[in-house]
Amino acid sequence: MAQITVENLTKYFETDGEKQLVLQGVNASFEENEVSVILGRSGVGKTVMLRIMAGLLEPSSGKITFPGGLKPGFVFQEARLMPWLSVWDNVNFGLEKFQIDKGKTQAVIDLVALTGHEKTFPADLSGGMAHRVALARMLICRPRLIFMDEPFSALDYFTRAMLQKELLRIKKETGMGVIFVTHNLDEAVRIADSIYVMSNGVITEKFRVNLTENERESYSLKALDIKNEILRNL
Amino acid sequence: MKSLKDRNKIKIFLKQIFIFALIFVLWEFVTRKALVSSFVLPSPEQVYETFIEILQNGELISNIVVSLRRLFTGFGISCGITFILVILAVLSPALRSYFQGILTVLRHTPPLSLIPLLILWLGIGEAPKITVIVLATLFPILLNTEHGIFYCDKKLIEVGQIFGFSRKKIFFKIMLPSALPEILLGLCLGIGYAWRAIISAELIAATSGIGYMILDARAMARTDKVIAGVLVIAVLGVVTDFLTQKLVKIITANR
Repeated sequence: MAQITVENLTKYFETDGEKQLVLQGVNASFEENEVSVILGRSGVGKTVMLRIMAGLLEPSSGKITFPGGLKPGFVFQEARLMPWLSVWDNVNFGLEKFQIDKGKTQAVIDLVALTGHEKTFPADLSGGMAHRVALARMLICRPRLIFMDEPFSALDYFTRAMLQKELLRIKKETGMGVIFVTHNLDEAVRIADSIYVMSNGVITEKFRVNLTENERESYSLKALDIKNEILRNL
Repeated sequence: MKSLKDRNKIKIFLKQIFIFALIFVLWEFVTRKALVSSFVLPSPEQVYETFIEILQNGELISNIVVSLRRLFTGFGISCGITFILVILAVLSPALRSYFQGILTVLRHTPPLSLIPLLILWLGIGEAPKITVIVLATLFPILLNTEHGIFYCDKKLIEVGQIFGFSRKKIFFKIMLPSALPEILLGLCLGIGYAWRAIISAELIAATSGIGYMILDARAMARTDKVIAGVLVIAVLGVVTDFLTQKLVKIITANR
């Protein structure tokens, strides 16, 4: 199985001539078609690492290796829709104009359960709907891997739970891999195949989560066991 | 049954009309009682008659056409300059720094103060008149467009980067549409400034145009014609403003 490897990744930012080390030599390898969750407190460098992996930031040093021909997608913490475009046009945003196939667009919109909202504009969408449009905008490009940077953290409990389920369903249907950053332990256990614990700019621990959908619920004892184990290492 | 919103709109409209009516009644009163000489302030009837006269003999329309031509030529040139400068600044951010100083100086120079120089350099033909319009309209258009383009939300630009867009594609698919409301605001302001500058422009040895008509009427001591001309400019300004605002609302309806 193909892997994405990160070797000795470092990143520092300079503020007022003072170097602030954010990533202190991260080493990790992610399975290409799994849900890998990077879990950690705020400010430990999760987002920085993800942005470097996606090419939005330059690393100070280190190496990232992708399997050949892999063009990852990225879903941001905010939906970041183009306010002047309808749902339909936002979903098609990343495609070349001549590639647009109406059936394909409709299929993706159906996949994220936004059927009937094609002509709606972002200003009239709820937070959860806007995030589903952002997801559809990425999915239509059929990436084999999607980076997600706390995509559901600004949403309420119920919407978040629903979108986590949708994400797993879509993952099952498309077979894509996900590298997902979050500071939410419940969320990590609910969706992850593997959890990478990050603290102080390095990945300290990796946990496998071999649970059924029901066992991942927050009232399940098996989920509780894993959470306790992770908490001891956090 | 009218809705509350509609009734409020009508109320506001009536309040605005009230002030106009008040001014009109005062004007009528002052002139009817001959409190001031008709040379200083002709009566509304006199102004109305003059208006009908210059409307019927074609003087008004032909002068408006000449002014509109100058106005839109100057406005068009300002748009062209803005387009070129913004494209250059997008292609080369370094170039933008070169121009910022000179543009700031020009921005704070009243176009009116340049008229003697413009006559000296460009003669008394159309060129100096159009230049005055350009100087009056360039900055609202340029500054708003520039602000819209260069202060585009970085987060939206990152979306383009994720899709592997080129710089050109990011400009046309993200920066330009996101700046559209500000660009349109600049154009609205520009049109407004152009109307106000038309008189200054036609101070320069003009033989036609609505500004010329007013200046000529003043020279001939035709105060009624001056007032008719000023009112026509005001109404045309309001109408242009109304139309551009409507257009902006239609274009940006979904935001």
